[in-house]
Amino acid sequence: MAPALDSGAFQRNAIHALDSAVSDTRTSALALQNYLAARVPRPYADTVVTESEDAIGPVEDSFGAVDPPSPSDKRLRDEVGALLSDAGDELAAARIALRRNDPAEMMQSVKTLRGLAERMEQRSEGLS
Amino acid sequence: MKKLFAIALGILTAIGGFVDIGDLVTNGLVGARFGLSLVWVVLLGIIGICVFAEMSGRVAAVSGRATFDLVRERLGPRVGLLNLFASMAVTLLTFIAEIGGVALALQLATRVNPYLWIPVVGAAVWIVLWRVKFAVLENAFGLAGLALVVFAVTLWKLDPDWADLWRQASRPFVPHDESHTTYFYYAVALFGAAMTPYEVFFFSSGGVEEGWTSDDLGTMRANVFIGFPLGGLLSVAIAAVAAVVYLPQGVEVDTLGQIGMPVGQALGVLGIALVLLGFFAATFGAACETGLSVGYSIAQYLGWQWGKFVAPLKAARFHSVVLLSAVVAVGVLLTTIDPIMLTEYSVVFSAVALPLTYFPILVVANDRTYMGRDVNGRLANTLGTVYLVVVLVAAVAAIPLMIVTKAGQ
Repeated sequence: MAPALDSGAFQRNAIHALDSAVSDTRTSALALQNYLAARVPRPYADTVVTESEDAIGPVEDSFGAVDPPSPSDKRLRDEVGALLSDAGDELAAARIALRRNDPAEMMQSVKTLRGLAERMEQRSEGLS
Repeated sequence: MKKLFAIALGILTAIGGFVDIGDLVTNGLVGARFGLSLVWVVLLGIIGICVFAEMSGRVAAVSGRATFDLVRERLGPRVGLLNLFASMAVTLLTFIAEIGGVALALQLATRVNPYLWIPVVGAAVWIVLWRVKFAVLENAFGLAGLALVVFAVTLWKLDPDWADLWRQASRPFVPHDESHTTYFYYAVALFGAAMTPYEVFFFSSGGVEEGWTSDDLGTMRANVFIGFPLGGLLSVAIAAVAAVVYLPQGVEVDTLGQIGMPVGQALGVLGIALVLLGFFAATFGAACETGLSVGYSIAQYLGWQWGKFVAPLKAARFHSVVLLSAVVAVGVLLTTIDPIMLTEYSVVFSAVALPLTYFPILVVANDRTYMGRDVNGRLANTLGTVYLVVVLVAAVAAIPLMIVTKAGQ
């Protein structure tokens, strides 16, 4: 664990983590959508979704490894941590749905991933 | 008619062979983050590579000898060694990245983990370099690389706001959420990707492999001045596609799968098949070129017999270097290093090595002893000198920018 230098540095960390997560969730949503529309083959979509899932783990870890410098930053840490965790869980769900070739689950995942990306983007913009 | 066919084939393979893993990754990444605001760097790089490729091709055609061979003779063993070290280190790094790129392309097609593909790809590259004729190798991968034209078709099918794209390209700007240092870090990376040192070494050594003479200067220039810029347009198309699809969504592009996905979105599974063929041909072809370039540079510096124009037994040391490079590449990649990250670093280090690569070429192309009446003219010297200043600035700025921006974060 390493403490952030100040609240500004901690918020920049949070913005960076949220932006990366937005990117990963939207990429996966796009891959699922394209697969459902028969525009990309399954191995391709699977690779893209798996890479997004693999990418979000280190984002979560590196954000979680920084100590919040103040009580308000602690609240931010919990909030962003929960969003990142939800995104990680949903990416795993998307990968499972894709590998099971379950269209209903995939459609649900697309919706959830888009919603999560929207929330994370708004939170990131709120911090900017 | 035969000559016309040779020119057309040369141009087509130059277009298809222009893009490699560095161009794919850097243009995709930059397009998604900066739109087309860095397209001026690609154009700057294309003109630069044309200037120096023409020079090194002319040296090969007129003197019948390749660049490293002459650099050591003309500038002495010490400068030659510096030139060798800088260029070879970057070329080896690029070779490793290309093999990683082939494995990633195969993963997209099969879902099989790239680390399982890496030894297979390393062995395949070595077998091709050992057994396949130079012309077959160059033409097959160059022509298959033309599949990447699918990015231009995708851009057209996406029906973007052309006026907006033109505005981004014609009036360079730093996006509000990016810093100037990050902007210029990626400018250096794009420049390094466009002017990768191996391209000129491979081009000049390839000229010797194919037995170019002064009579082939016209064909060589057609390849360079038509083929390279059209190949560069493919790089711009890749950046533009990423800008249209990913920039508005705030998606950061850092995988090969992301770079190709808009093609599927626009053209369906057939588009994906073509883009995978293009990825494979571009990376495998470039792996062959960089693998050969490592062998060329060492063998030419040390005065060994080199090339595929002689039987492997007669150039055993050259082929041993190529084999050793393939083993090193596979070994490095199996440490589980990320090939995309390696590519991002290789294009920046490529920028650092540029002056050491291009200065000696300018010197040799000005030496009447080798060049006779085909020595550099005023235009070639003016452009060569201007570009030396540009590459020097890029080389000096590369590492500080990498440190300040934490490699573009």
